[in-house]
Amino acid sequence: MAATLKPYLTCVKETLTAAMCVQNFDSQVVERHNKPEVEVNSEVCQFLWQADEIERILCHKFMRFMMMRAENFVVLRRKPVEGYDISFLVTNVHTEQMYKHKLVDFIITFMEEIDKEINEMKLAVNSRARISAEEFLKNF
Amino acid sequence: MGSGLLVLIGPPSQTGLSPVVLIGMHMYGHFKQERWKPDLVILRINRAATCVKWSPKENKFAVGSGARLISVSYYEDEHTWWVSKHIKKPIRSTVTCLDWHPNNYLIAAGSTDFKARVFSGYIKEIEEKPEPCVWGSKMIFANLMAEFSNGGGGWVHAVSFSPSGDKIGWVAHDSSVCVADATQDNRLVVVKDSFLPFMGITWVTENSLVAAGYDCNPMLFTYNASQGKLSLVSKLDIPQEKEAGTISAMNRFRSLDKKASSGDTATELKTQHQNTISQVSVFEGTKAQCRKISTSGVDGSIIIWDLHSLEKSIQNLKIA
Repeated sequence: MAATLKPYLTCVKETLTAAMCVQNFDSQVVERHNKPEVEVNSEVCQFLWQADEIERILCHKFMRFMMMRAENFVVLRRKPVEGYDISFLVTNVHTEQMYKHKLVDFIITFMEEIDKEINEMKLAVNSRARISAEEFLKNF
Repeated sequence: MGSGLLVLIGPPSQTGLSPVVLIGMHMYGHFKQERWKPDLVILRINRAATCVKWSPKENKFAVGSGARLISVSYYEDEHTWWVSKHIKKPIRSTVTCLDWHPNNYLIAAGSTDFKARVFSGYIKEIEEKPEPCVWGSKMIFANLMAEFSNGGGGWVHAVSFSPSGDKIGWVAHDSSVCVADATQDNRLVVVKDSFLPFMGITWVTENSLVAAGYDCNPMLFTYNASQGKLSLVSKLDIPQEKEAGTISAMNRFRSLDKKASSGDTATELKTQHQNTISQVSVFEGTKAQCRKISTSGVDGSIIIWDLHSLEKSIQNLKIA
């Protein structure tokens, strides 16, 4: 993992630990309902850093791939909040059924892995582009 | 509010065995001739009940609810059912927690309108007129004796009367621990530090209280009445140092196989509770002289803490 990323992820981790103090709160207006967005469920969104055009395209495609399989990730949202590439929705149900610190770990690992994958893919795309360009230019 | 099942513990003196069950919102178990006989309880609430507590003398109980009121129920011999009186004003949101004053008349209530209040729960039909106390002398039913706000915006999660009943302590979602002292002209003392919010609180002596919550670690606070100070004494869960750096080869490969990491990342919290603590209660002794407390957590475990042995083993822990 890039050393530059480490402080950022540590910061995210601390913030998540502090923010993930959620509990159930039923609606006071309607009997037997609870509306996630109004009451207490906190929405945590992460912005992924994208330096150039290739990273942007790769990231977009990759996220689409992930989000199509969002139900397997439990806390991943199918559609990101506007302005973000990917967002997680953590509710009281998640923090009750799973260990909170592991949930935080998961999100951090997830971000690390995505960063790694995108870097690898970027390298692969670049080297492939170089080879095809070489092959193409051989004709001249 | 979702309809829930509330379990009313007690009255222990009547039963010998303790749990009596309040099913749904209207039923109450009554122990007679070695079997439970359900009694009718008319709470007259249209939202689910959130908390319930027996009065110290066990002749009435209070139920907090999402209908922004507290029902105080007492037994009516004439109709053989439990009837309720409502405390409504000035509660503006769900009542989340309750506690009874040891004199059997006053009720402390915390609510999601960020306030802790003390009400009179005196029911003239069944009990004698109360003597004036530090909280005031006018004790007609539902009279607001005191109202406190710590200035922050946190839902009150738990409230507790001190053993003498002269102070109340409560915790809220803004990570604060508060004590209001009626003997000092309702002086309010607030502690806010870099804690995560607390979910439960109880007094363990007249001057000390234990609070626990999202930090997964019960903490002991001491209130000093003459200085008007509330301070953290110590955390009660001091982790034992694990020997580091000695992961066996087998464990290393096992964790590589299972978690795709070499096992050096911390996957367990250092505290006994692995997730939020939801409640703290006195397990052995009384609030005035507590020997053991119990904590229950969202991780599914209940832990009993022996305060005396903790006092010996933790260096700075002195329970005043």
